[in-house]
Amino acid sequence: MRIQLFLYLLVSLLTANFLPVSAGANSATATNVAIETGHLTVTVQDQKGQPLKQAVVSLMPLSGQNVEGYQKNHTEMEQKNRLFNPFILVVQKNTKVSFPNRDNFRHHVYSFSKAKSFELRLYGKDEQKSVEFDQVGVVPLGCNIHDNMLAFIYVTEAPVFKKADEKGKVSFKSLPVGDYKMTVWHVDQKKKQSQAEQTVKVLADGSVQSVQLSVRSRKFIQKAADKNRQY
Amino acid sequence: MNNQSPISRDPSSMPSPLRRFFWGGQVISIRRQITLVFLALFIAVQTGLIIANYLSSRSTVEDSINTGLDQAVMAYEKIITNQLENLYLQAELIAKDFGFKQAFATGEQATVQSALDNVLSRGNTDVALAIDLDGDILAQAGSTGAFRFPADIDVDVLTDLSTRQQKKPIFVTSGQTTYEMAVVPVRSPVLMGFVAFAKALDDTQAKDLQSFSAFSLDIAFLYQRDGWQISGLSASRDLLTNFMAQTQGYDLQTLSGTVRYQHRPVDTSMLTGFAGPEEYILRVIPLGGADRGADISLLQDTVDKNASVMILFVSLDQAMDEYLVLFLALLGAGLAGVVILFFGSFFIASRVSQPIQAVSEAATDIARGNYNPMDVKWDYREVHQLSSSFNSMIRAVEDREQKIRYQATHDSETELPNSQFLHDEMGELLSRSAPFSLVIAEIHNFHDLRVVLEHSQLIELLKQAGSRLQKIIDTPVARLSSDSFGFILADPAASHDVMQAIVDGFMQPVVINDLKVDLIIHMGMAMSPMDGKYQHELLLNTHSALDQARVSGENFVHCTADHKASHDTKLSMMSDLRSELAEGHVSFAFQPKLDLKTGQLMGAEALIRWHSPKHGFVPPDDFISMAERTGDIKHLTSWTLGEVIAQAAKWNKKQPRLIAINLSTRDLQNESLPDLLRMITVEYAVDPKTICLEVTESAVMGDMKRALKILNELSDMGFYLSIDDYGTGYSSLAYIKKLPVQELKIDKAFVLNLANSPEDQILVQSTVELAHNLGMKVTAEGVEDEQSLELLKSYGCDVAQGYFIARPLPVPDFEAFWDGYDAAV
Repeated sequence: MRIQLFLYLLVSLLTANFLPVSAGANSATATNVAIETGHLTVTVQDQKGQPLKQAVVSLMPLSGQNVEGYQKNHTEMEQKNRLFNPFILVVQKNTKVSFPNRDNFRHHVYSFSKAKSFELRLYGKDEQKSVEFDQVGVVPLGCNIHDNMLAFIYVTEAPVFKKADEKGKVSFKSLPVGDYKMTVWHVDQKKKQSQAEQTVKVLADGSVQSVQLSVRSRKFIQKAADKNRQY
Repeated sequence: MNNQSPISRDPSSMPSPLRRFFWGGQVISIRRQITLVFLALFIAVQTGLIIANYLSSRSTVEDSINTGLDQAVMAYEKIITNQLENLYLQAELIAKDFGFKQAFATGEQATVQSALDNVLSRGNTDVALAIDLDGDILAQAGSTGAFRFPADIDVDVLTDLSTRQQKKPIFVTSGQTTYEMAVVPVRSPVLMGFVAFAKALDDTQAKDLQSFSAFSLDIAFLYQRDGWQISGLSASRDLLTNFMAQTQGYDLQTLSGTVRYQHRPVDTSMLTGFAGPEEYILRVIPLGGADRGADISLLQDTVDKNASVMILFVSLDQAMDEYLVLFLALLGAGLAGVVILFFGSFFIASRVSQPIQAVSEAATDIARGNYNPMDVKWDYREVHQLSSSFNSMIRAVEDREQKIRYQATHDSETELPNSQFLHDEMGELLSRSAPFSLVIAEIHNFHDLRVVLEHSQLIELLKQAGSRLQKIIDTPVARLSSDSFGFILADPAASHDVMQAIVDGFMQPVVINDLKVDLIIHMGMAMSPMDGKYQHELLLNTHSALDQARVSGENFVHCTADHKASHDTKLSMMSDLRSELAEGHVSFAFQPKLDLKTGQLMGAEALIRWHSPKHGFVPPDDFISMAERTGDIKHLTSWTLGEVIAQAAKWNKKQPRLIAINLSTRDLQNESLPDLLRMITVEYAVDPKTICLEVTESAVMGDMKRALKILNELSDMGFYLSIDDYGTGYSSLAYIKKLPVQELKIDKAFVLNLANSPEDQILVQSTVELAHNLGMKVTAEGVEDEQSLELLKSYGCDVAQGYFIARPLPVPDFEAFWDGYDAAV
């Protein structure tokens, strides 16, 4: 928890420091019409070299690259078949996430996380609920009615982010070249991670990064509803 | 008294029937034996029964305890599990409470604390904890001081524990108490921390659980820390003092099945001390530790290494108490049985022994002479047979005894009572100290009659004599010997009259087969108590009186003091005779015999003389008859023969003389007499012809056959034989004729008054003639005057002897007389 707080502070500091720069850069980019881009491929593995799917890789431009409009935000956390979907949702700070209930019974979504503590009291299918996440952090979601339901919303400052595929691979295409602070996060990662944050260079001819995260043996999973007695 | 033990076995202190029962005599009685055997058997059986019962019920109790324990183990395992379930339920309930989760997640410590307190207030839980993911205790409710959750617990372990699929108990020990614990995660929705609910396995819990049991048991919770420690116990700690001491270093968890434990109470009162240790059967339910699987092994490193056990104790002795009533009942029944059996067997035994005792009493009665038949009053066939055969035996014995008694007390020849009868009667009177007179009557001429009468006539004579006596005196008369009768006169004062009546009664002759026989009766009498207080004394005195009568010729003589005295001295006289014979106080006098034909002395009769220093002169008649009775006569005779024949040998050297020696009745019964005489005559070289042996008529009559044999022998040897005292024995000449004698010696009774008695003159003259006719010589003794001598000469009598010629002279005088006489002639 302390580490989380530290990370948060670190991110806040960086944000505060580099926002004006980035803004300036953005404007600079805007003035310089021709923008050089490159690819970045990141492979995330656990300590045993196994691919970590659903690992979140987020990129914060460090050299004023303009990435506006690069990320297409997905802002829906649906509840269907007594499950949250998606299991991991990554949003940029200040994003409003809607919680559509697609089951024909009620849900009671809540989170007591530091990043966002909220509670959507018993709502049905026809009700539209949405929450704005205004702080960076991990927000575990639960349903007070259905214990098995579990999901995480990863709130990040970074404008670029992506979840790893089945092979633990994340590919950023046509990303403006330059330095980026890359943050890698996985829901099952242990708290102290040396490789979780690092600066990466995106080059025109592409860059490849490999990140190893150590994860807990016990994984967070959202189990099927009929097995809700299990933790 | 001080020395006596209080439990003295002095039989006299016991009541008499019991004493007789238990001490009895030296011989054990049937009754006692039966009773004791029955009792012993019964007690043995009963004791065996009780022991068997005890053992079987003890094993039943053990079985039931084991069964109960098996069930209890299952039940308590279930209870412990249920309790855990309950802990989990409560923990889960709170861990899933939205408000709690919110408070937990937002770190509202006060809210969390109040929530835990709230849960605890519902009971069933002793400690509730909220633990964050760092392992720090967020809040704690209940037993705040007592329960300390192990520090530095690895959250992963807790996570692992709390996320197990199966809920298993966790046993931890804090302080001195073991807790059963459930750990539940708090998720909101991700893991935020843990809620741990614990139940203390303390005394209260043990007592609670104990109360669930259907039977009496005790429960203990133990944990291992430096050996085994008590966490909770339903009883006083004392119960486990021994157990704890015995099980240190033991792995209690591996103790399975039935375990026994001997509990010795600490405060040993006299009763429990006497009863010995209390036996417990126990079962161990392992609670935590290696054997409980991974749950605890996870905890072992970090939480507590302690293993815990739950132990169920059942007191075997206490369980046996239920059977105490049974045993008391059995014991009571046994005791009652002993009492009943005692009296019952006593009764039976008495029924058996009573007839035996009755028979024994009847037999004792018989021994006393009472032939009363037994009462046949028992219903037992055997006893009935016994008593009836006993009764027939009694009758047979009675008959036989009467017969024997009759035979014993009666004379078979005459059918008169015998001497035994007289003795009995006398004994009876003496025992009553009744005065009476004892009379013995003798038929004086019986010997003579025997010669002339046939045996049957003699018997008839005796019968008539007896019945005549009986008629006169009117009491039973006993036949004592062949010729004597004895009877008792109950009135001593009238005895003289009665005896006179008898004398008168026998004046009449007795008639046998038309034969008239005159009987001469002599009687002796002694009176009790004046003449004797004992039978033998009376008999002796009576006989002595009879002797007196016989000698004096009186009809009856009453025993006098003189007789008694002489009797008393007679016995001592015999022993004196023996000693004085050796001392030379007995000598011989010789009375010369005159040959009437030649007018010369032809021999002498040796007459024994005893000049006792003690008794003075003792008449030969007295001591000879005495010696005959005592048997001294044999010795006296051989001495006499030796002495006299030695003397005769001396004289014979000068001139042959016929020396006469008197032989007694006994001598003629002695078959060694001829040999003795032969020896003596050879020794002194004496011609038997010079020795005259004089025998009395009665001596020959006694046992005629033997006497004849001896006389013939002596005659063959050449001895001169003479019949002494002829005329007094009532023997007939015809009879004398058969004897090998050369001479008849007419008794002095016929000679003393010969000169003045015409009857004697006729008797002597005819005797001489008869003797001569039979070829015998005749000697007359008791010649005291010249006239008689002349008469004898005129009758042709051969030899004379008497005071007129010479009295008996000692040897020197005799020799002088002889020489002088020869010279005178």
